[in-house]
Amino acid sequence: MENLKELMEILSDPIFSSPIRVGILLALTGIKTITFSELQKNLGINKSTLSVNLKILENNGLIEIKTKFFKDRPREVIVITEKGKKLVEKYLEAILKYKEIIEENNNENIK
Amino acid sequence: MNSKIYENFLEANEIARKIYYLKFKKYIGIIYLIVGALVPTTLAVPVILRTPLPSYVSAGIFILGLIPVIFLNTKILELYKIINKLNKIIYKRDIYSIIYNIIMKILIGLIIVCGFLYRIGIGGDLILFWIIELWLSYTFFRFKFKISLEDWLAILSPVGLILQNICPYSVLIFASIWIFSGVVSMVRAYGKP
Repeated sequence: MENLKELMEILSDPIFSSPIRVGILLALTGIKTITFSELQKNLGINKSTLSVNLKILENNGLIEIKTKFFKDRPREVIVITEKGKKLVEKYLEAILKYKEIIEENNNENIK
Repeated sequence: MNSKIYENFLEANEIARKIYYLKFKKYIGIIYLIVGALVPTTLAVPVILRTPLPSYVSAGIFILGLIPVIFLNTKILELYKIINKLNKIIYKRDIYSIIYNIIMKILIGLIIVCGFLYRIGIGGDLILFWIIELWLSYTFFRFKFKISLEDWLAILSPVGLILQNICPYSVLIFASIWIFSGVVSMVRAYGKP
């Protein structure tokens, strides 16, 4: 991480303003794919809220939504893209650095 | 500094962890079922065929059964990579991780001791016992997931493996517990969140 400005630029990205979107990206980094219905069941949110958040991620090229057929029934499968994986890496690095800065500040205030 | 950024991260972490946990229960549930079914299978095949199996055939069945277990473990390791990164951000090196490291070293030490005993002709079952214990302890404690009753039963049941010289049926108790843990884990993974 170059400096504080760069750090804040990453963390202030509108993508990361919603815990739902960040949660979806983090989850997909670990499990690679998930179906729409599985995601909805786990998040406990309504279809439209999930669709809006997925659309934002898809429009930014972070995920792909594919339609696959299981037993002749269409299912939406969500997959993380390479760009998405790289952004999550950057985000986690940034958040670690951010936490360290906060802790340093707190320690200095105590002193 | 905007604390909302970190609050969002913590909330996102909870969301992701919930999904990881259900995937993990799915993987570990299948592993419990496979390992649990392996023991009765190796015992049932000679009864069905009405002939004792040569030891290399039993070993072959066992190894074939372990292939999907190894595959599922690679999936669990993939999950672990991201969870480890999240844990590093959230948790400090606390007393919990120090105790964990000590326990891991003791378990690894015990496997080495059992390996030495096996070389001199005693304690073959002990190696399997300690390997299962090491793997389960590593899996559960490293993830910092909630350990459910079925998981505790699976952790404790390998005792049946070392008692089989005294009580031959203890190995079947071990197998039944693992099948039970597998079924319960799958119900948790596929049931209502």
